[in-house]
Amino acid sequence: MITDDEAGFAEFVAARQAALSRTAYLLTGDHHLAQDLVQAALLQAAKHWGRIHTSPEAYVRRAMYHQNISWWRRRRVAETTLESHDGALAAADTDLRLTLDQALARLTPKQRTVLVLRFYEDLTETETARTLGLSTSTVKSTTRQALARLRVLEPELAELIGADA
Amino acid sequence: MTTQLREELDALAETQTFSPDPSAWDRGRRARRRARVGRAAAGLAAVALVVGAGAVTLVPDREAPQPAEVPGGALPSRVDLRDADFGADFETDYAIGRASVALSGNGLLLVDAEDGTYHRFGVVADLVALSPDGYRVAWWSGDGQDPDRIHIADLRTGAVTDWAFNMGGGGQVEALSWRPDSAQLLWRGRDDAGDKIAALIDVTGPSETPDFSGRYGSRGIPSPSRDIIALPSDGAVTAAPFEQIPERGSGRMTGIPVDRALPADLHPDGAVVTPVGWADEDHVVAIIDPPPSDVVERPRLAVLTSPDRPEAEWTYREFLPRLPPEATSFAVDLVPDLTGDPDQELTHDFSAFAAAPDDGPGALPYALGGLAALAAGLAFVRMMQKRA
Repeated sequence: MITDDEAGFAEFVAARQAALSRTAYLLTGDHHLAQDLVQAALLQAAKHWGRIHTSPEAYVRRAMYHQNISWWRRRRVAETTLESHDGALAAADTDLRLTLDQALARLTPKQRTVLVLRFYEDLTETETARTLGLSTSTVKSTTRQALARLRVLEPELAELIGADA
Repeated sequence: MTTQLREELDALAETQTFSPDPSAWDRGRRARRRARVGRAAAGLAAVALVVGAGAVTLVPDREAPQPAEVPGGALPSRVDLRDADFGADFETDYAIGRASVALSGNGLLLVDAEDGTYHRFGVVADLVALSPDGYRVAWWSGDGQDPDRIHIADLRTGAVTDWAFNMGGGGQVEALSWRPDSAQLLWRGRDDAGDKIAALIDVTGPSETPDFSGRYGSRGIPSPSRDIIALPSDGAVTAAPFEQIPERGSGRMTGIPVDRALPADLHPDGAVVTPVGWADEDHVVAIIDPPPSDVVERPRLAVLTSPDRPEAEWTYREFLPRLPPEATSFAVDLVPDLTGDPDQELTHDFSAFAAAPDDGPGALPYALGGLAALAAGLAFVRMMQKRA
């Protein structure tokens, strides 16, 4: 027998899974990691459904943002330093979208998360700061650094992100 | 500009849609039920213990059962990030009382020493140091808020001091560690010119004493008497490294390297040793991280005797296994004095709970009540298992 809670959860997942998966992909840049991220957030939501069922999306999204950065912090010991990646990418690929995808993959998760929240989720600086537990000035500086880094990594993105970023 | 970027991000995201595993609900609810059943079973075990003890002794001044909350606090028997609720709002009030473990990562996580719950704060903490007594936590982040500040929270009052370290000059902090008195915080790093620098912050003053003559610049954590320093190992070692401070007037300017062998039966391939504090003058607490293998996974804490004690006194106890890499700082004052009993509990299982101690009229009513609770609890567990 399906309970009201389960039905509510299923309805929420059916309605929002596509949007959640899109955000998860932008956050991780990896199809499989994105799936894991959505799954982990939904598991947490199911565990706490009684408490969060009135606004589950905010909870799930926050869980995804935080979980992604947490996973990255666990993985980063095995990763190479950013400095070694600061050279511009080879210009073999001219497709702007692919270029953006590759450049995003070379940002830190924090920079990437701030960009996704600001320019994809369309949150204000204040909302982004509140969601990530950062100060507004940190969000501003992280956004500025991330956009500048995109321009260094991919000069051809300057038109997309603005030359004065 | 933002419209174009948004459109491109949107288009990029559209290329990668997928459907979540439909079992998410069942798995989530099963996890919730398992946690509940586990807690109930642990509670029943504790209740049964009370009932058994009460029925046998029937004396009013019997020893109280182990309570869920530990007055004064204890280290938890496990540290697991899955116990933290990553979807919940960040806490903002640091007046949580004594903490037992501090974890860095996305947000600062503190484990409550008295009830084992997780408190999560929305600050970026690349380096975190919990004082040995568990009442202060310091953190610093190179890319978080105010990289020129070391933040120090008093967990009794909730007051946070944003310390402009290096006499306000800031720099890159590479390590934070507390002295055994829990009042002095040592930071070590580099100034803006890249020169090595260190200083001792007295948080009770507060004041900062820069390191003019290399007194504080060495790695490691000194013992309370400052006779010997526990050093982090350089990779996996078969003996934990220490440095003995030479006596005054000896003419020697550098410490004397000494070491303390790790048990070869436990760690035949050695282990990475990272000291986290001194439980007392003779016992250091360290994270022991053996090389990955089929039987050993993830680091654990150990308490081991200082090498300046006679070898006949040496002890070595491992506890708190499967530490996540984010767990880097511990309130070492919570490690109990070693009794020599190999079964001595050094941590507390906060998932177990029991009835509060009482001063009632006699044991029989409590025994009967306990039996009733046991029966009701068994029925509850059975019901939950059926639902699971």
